[in-house]
Formats: sequence, C-alpha cells, structure tokens
Amino acid sequence: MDRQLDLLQGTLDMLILKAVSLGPLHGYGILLRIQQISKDRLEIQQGSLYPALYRLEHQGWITSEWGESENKRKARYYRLTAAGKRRLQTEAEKWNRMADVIAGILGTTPEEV
Amino acid sequence: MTLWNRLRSWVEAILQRSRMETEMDAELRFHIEAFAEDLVRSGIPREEALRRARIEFGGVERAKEECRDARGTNFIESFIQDLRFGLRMLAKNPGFMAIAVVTLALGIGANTAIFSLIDAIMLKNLPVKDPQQLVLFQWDTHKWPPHFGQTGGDSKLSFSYPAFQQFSTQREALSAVFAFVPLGFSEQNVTVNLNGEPTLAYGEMVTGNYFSGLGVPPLLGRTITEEDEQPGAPRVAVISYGYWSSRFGRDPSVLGRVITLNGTSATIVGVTPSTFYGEHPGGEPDLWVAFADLPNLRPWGAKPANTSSVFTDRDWICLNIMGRLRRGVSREQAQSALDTAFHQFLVADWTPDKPDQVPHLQLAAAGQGVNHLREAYSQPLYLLMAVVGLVLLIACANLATLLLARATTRQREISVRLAMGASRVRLIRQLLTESVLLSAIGGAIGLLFARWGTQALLALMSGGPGGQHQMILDVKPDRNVLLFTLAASVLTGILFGLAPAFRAARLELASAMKESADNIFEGRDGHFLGKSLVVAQVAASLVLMIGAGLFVRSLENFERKDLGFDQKNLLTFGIDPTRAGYRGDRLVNFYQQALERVQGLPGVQSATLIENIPLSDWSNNTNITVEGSRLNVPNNHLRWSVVGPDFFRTMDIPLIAGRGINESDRVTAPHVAVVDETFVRTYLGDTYPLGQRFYLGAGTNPNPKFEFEIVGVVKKAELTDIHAQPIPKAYMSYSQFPEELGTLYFQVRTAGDPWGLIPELRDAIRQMDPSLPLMDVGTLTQLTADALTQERIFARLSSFFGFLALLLASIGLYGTMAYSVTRQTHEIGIRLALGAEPQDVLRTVLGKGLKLTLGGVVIGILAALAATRLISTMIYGVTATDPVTFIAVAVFMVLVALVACYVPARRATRVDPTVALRYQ
Repeated sequence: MDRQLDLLQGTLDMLILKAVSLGPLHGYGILLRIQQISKDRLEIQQGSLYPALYRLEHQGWITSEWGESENKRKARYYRLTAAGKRRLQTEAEKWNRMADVIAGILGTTPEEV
Repeated sequence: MTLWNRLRSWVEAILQRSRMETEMDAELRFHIEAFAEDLVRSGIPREEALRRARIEFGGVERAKEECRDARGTNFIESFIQDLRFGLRMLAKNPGFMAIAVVTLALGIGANTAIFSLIDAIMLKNLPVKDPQQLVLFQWDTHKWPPHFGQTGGDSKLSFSYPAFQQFSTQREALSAVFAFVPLGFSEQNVTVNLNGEPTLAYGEMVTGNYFSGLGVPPLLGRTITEEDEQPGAPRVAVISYGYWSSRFGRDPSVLGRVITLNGTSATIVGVTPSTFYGEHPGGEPDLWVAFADLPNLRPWGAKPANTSSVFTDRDWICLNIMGRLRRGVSREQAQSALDTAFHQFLVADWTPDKPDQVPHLQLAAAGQGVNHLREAYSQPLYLLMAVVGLVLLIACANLATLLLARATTRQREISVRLAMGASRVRLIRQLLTESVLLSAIGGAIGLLFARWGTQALLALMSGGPGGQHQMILDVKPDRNVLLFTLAASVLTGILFGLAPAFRAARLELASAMKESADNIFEGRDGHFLGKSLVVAQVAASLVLMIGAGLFVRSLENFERKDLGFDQKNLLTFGIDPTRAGYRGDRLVNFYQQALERVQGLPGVQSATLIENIPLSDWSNNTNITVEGSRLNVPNNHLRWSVVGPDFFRTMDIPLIAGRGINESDRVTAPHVAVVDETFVRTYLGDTYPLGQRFYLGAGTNPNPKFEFEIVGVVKKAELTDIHAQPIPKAYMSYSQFPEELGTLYFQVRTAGDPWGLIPELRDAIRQMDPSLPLMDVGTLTQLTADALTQERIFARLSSFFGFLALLLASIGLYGTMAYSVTRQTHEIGIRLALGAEPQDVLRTVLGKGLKLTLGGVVIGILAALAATRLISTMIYGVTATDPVTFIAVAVFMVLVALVACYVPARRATRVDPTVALRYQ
C-alpha cells in the first residue's frame, strides 16, 4: 500500500510540473490538463492534488499568485520556475531511463539469460 | 536553492497563518465549485453537482491537513496544541502535579547548584576586556636554577622584576605586560589604619599598567597608572568595591582620603567596579598599590628596603606576570618570541652545566586568571555532580512510575484518541510534551532552589560567616547556568516520559476499552517495568547511602585523629611587627616582651610562638644534610619551624629525650634544634640522636647560620596538614634568627574558655604598640574544624542526598506495592474468603516488597563496590569496601523498605472478601 503511494507521488509531481510547463494554471485547470494530455487514460485523485501542489511550491519548483479565472472569479494560479523547469527535465530523463531498463528486463527471452 | 525556498516558505507560513488558512480555504472551494460547474454544464442540477463534486474531491479537512503538512509548519502548530493540552491535563490533577514538580525542582535544582559552582570555578572568564587574549607567564620546569631563593606562592609562576622588565621590552607579540604580587604572606597582609583603628586587609602591589592591561575601568576616580610607579611619585591606593562597601559604606567622598598602610600614608584615588575581583577567582583583594620600595610595605618575600630594591633584586622571584596578545598573534608565536628574551636574561648571570638545562618560558591561556581553585576543587565538584546526577535519575525513575500509574487512569481517553485516527507517533509526541512541560516547570522552580543552595554551599566552603577563608565567587546564574538548567529539564522530561509514552501508545485498542483488561502500568510483561524501576531506585540510593556512610565515618576518624598535641583551650593569634618597622634585635625583643606580658595575664597557663598558623597547610620544607648519617635516604626533606621557648610544654607534646627550646637559645648561643621521633627513625636509625648535627640545604659548604645540633627529641605531632602522613620535623629557636623573622603566631594555653581572653590579649599587645592588630585570631579546636571543611561538606552533602534518595526510593516502593495490592484486591479477597489468615496475606505482600528490595540491595552493593573505588583517596580510616558500612546501610535499607511496604500490606489484610469478590 505504502509503496504504491510513493510511486504515485513522484509521478504526480512530474505530471503537475509538465502540465504547468505548458502555461500557468489554477489547481482545477491542472487536473483537467493532465486528463487532457493523457487522453483521459489517467485519473488523478482530486484530494491528493493540492498537497502535491503545496509541496512543490514549498520546494521552489513552482510559484503561485492570485489572479482572475475565466468566469471572473479569484483563483490561485501556478507556474513553473526556472529551477522547476530544470527539475522537470531531470525527472523526465530519469523516468525515461528507468523505463528503458525495465523494458529491457521484461523483454529478456530465456535464451539471453 | 531549495533549502532557502523551504526556509522562506516556512517562515512565511508561520507569520501569516490565518491569511494562509483563508487562502487555502478559498482555493479548495474554488476547485469544488469549478468542478460542480462543469457537471452543471453537462446537465446535472446544481445541488447534485455540488454534492458529487464534494464526494469526488474526498475529505476536504484531510486535504487541508495534508496541505498544512506539506508546508512543514504542522510541527509547530501541533506542538503548541500539545502544550495547551498538556497544561490543561496538569491543571486537572494538582496533587500529582505538586508532587512531581517538587521532586523535579529538588533534583534539577541540586544539579544546577553544583553546576553553578563548576561554572564559577572552572568555566567563567575574568570580567575584563577580551579575556581570551590574556596569557600567564610560567616556567616549563620544576627545576629552577640552583641559585634561586625565595619564590612566590606558586613557584612555577614566579619571576623577578628585572625579568619582567626584559619581557616588557618585547612589544611585537604582546600589547601589554603587567605584573602583580601580594603584599605579604597572609590573607591579611597589610594593616590599614582607618580613623585611628588598626585593621587588616588583603592588598596587592601591581605594576603601572596592571589595570590598563586587564582592561578594567574604574568605577570611581582612577586606577593605578605608570606615573604612580615612578620614583618619588606620591603614594596612592585603589580600593575594591567590596572593601568600599564594607569599610566606607560606599561613600563617594572616599576619593582623596588618606589611609596608612603599615604606617605609610597613601591617598585613595579610585574604586574598582563591583564585578571585578582581581586576577584570582575566589579571592578579592581589598586594595592595590603601585610598585615601590617602601620601608614597611614590602611585598611577599621581599628583603628589607635597606638591603635590596624590589625593582632590581634578581633573587627576589615572587612576581606573577600576565600579558595580552596582540590581535592576530597566536600564543605559540608570542611564546617563542618571549622565550628567546627569557633565555638571554637567564644566562646573563648563570652558566648552566649543560645548555639544555636552561628552563623555558611558557605562556598559558589566562582567560580565567590565575585559577588555583580549579585544581583544588575539580575532583570534589565532579564527584558532587555525579551524586546529584544520580539523585536526579532516581527522581526520574520515580516520576516514570508515577506517570505509568497516571497513564493507566487515562487509558480510556488514549484508546479513544487512537481509535479516532491519531497516529501513535503523534500520541507519543503529545505525552512527551506533557512530561517535558512538567519538567520545565520543575526546572524553573529548581533554579530558585539552586540559588539558595549555591549560597548555602559557598557558606559551607567558607567555613561559616566568620571563617578564615571566605570564598568570594560570582555565582549569579549566567547564560551557561541557564542553558544547563534548560537542557537538564528537557532531557529529564524526555527520560522519564519516554517509557510511559511508549507504553501508552502500544495499547491494544479492543482490549483497552474493556475494564478488566491489562493496563498501561502492567503492560504485556506483567509489571516488569514498574518493578525494575523500583529495584533501580533502591540500588541507586544504596550506593549514595554507602558513599555517605564512608564520608561520615571518614570525618569522624579525622576528628578523632590524635594530632600529637592538645587542642583544647588553646588560642592562636599572630602579629606582624615588621609592618611597624621592627627589625632584627628590636623585633626579637618585641616578641620577648609580648610573650612575657601574655604569660602574665590571669587565665593564661602558658604561651609560646610558632611560625605558621597551625593546621593551615603552610610550613617550611627544605632539603637537609645529616652529618655522619649512615642511612641512605633518597629525599632528604625536613619540615621545620622556629618556635618560642616553652613550646612543647604549652602545646603538650611529650619530650622523649634531651630538652625543649628555652630562653637560653639566644642569637649568641650555638644554633640548636629539637627533632621529632620520625626524624630520628628516618635519618639516624639506632644512632643516639642528641649531639648529632644537620644543616639546611645540600652541598658541602653549609651556611653556619643554618647548621644545628640536636638537643632534644619529641613525639611526633601534626601541626601543619591534618591529612598528611608523618614526616621528619624539627623545631628551632626563633630568637636565633633575628634577620629572618616576620609574623609569628602566639599559642596561648588558657585555664578556661579561650575566647574570653581575647580582649585582654588585644589590650596587652595594644599597650606595647597600638598600630599592631591581632591577625587570624582563633582557637585550635576551630582551626582543626576548619582544616576538615572539605570532609565535612562531603559528609553533610552526601548524607543529605543519600537520605533524599532513600526517601524517593521508599516512595517509589510504597507506590508500587500500593498499586499492586489494589490490582490484586480481587485475588486477595478470594484467598481470604477461602480461609487464608490475614497474617499470610501480610506476609505475602511484605515478601513481594522484600524481594524487590533485596534485588535492589544486591545490585546496589555490587555497584557500590565498583563506585567507591573512585573515592578511596578521599576517605580516611575506612577502606572503600568497608564491610561494616556496607552491611549497616544494607540492613537499614531493608528496614526502611519494610516500613514502606507495611501500609499497603496492612491494607491488603483489611480487604473485605465480599466487597473484593464483587469488584471485577
């Protein structure tokens, strides 16, 4: 149970950074964008979104300010910082490398062992 | 980068908590409403949409909590929450809180008191500017060039004035070099005439830059300057704040007052600040004068003014020198620079046999001044610290037991909280906060106890308000002491709170809700923790009590030690006629006449003279050569003193052979000595002692003045150091050394109470010369007691703490047994109902208590056997493993424990079976 959550936490952070890298968004908007760019294949638990956002802001990868939403209401908008951009790059590279390694392991045939 | 961000957002979060809360609330609400609107757009009615949005989001409060966590501020908020809750819980139970707080206050207070002393004696710096720049000059060897004569109180730190001048010329490394020396041997080394009345004070002679070198500004007027050291400069004196308060009532008009110091007048030009106590911690001079050659005001060890000048005498080696490092110069650099100068200085008038025999100069860090207290007191203080530390541990064990019992009553509350979702970590944190809070309150009160305790301890160390050696220490709580108290409180709180907190958090929820379940106190291991805490307390208090027993017996042994002379009805006092200008033959005549007068007083049986205050640890010690001695003795020491006629009769020291010193031993007569039996045994063996000769010093060309013929042998007597082993002693006639005499101490054997005779004695001396006050007046009984001050302190303190520990352990034992009986009421009831006699129940309960006690006693004895080895050098007449003490204390402990268990045991016998059977 615990391990699954951890993985999700790291992945969620990366997804949020990616979503925000495409342009500043408020929390709900980030949720929608992740769903959109994942072509609706990923569902994020809404309750875990905001703690992740606060954590990322606390660590300095994103920053926030209050602005006006589409329907003229006050909302907090998040955008990527320069450090956050670098972080996203590093995390993406790590993820891709890991995916390669796992794919290699899973694709091993009995003869190659 | 991210650390900085974290810090910033953390600080922001704390400072703007409420704003953050509102914003977070607004943000989450926006989210839910936005989601709801999307749902509305897809056709769902508004009410339903909102409901779905909320469900989809999940627990809002939970999310908020996690958000707060993510900010990292949760810790502070929950800590404040815990504090508030803790205070409420404590207030609900004032009885428990009172006991706990008092126990803690005593334990922490005792530790703080001892630490204050450690701080004042060993850690505090001199209250001067930049004490870390100060250095103390010292020799690196104990082998001085053979031509050296009299040195200062600590020969390693003694130099001559010409040496000081040599050092002063080296200005690259040190910005200031200054020197100081006491005005005489005793603690009352100068006679000050105030308003015609001669009084005694302690003064120092200092070089002109002493005060500027230390960086001490005057409180009033000015301090000594270099002009005051110039020849022909008017005599001035600077007085201390303490002296100003006690003698002048803090009158500001004291500036310009003229006082006489040993007959020389001096004008008071300044007062030092109240925080300044000179350069020796523990001793505060009353006044300072500039270096000068004054006829009657000669500093320590200086020859008379007409034979030598303190400024030029290369054989007067009594100055202490300190310096201040220049910025950027290290001690090692300064040391090597000055060592070269020192070497040149030494070889100027001395050719050593080998070049590497020349001693070197060392510069020691002197931020604490010239600290002799540290060597004298460090071992006793560390020992005391261990004792009070052990008492505090016992108090912790006691409190842990109390808390365990209390946690039992809170079982319900704790299990409900756990069921509601509190994490165990949080619970433990909250319980620990409570115990640390308790401990902090105890510590704060303990600080008050400590202030009082430190004062009492200082009074003990000084030997009472009239004692001879007043300890003046700055023991006000400073930052070190406060930090120590805080640390001790927090650590104590964690220590005794840890076990109960862990126990409480380990509760099995389902069973805890039931009444009859295992509870926190017993835990799953059936009471083991509680029992072992009691056993530990018993063991620890046993160790302390055994230590106390050893110290008490040691003190008794010292008090009953036969010192070889009769201490009853023996009065002592000293006078220093050299301060009034008496020298040589005039001095001897003065003493002779004074003796006659004193002997003539009614109530005086006999009177004599001796060179040092008895039992003050001061004595002359010299190497000797015994002529014609066939025995090869490795270290030829001798402890000797000049004495007056009738010495042995007055002191009641039995004569074994020959005669004592008498009036015929005048300066024109051959020089004689009376030796003691230890001398004979050590140096003469079987040789008949009378007529044998010896002389002071080694080498083959003795000074005939210091050559003696033995005319008598006496039984050994301890007149110097009550702790010493017997060593060879000799007694010479004072009147044979008129040029070397200084202060002499009268020993007066009275018929009745010695104190009553003091006014007549004062009169007798005053009639001879009104400018001579009586110094160091006291009785031998009092001096004996003073010499045992440290032993007495230890005996009293260890007894006090031993009994305190015993009390705590007994309370712990009582509490545990009482609790055990309560828990087993049901079982006891059944047994009584089935026909058991009340005595059986009594015996069972007592038996349980006894088992615990015996366990503690056995462990305690083993621990004590190891621990008392540490104090074996401090006790006298008993071994560190003295069986009598061990057994007596163990038996006493068991008896006390039986008493402590008796009440619960009685209660057990009174259990009404019918009530007990109903009580589930």
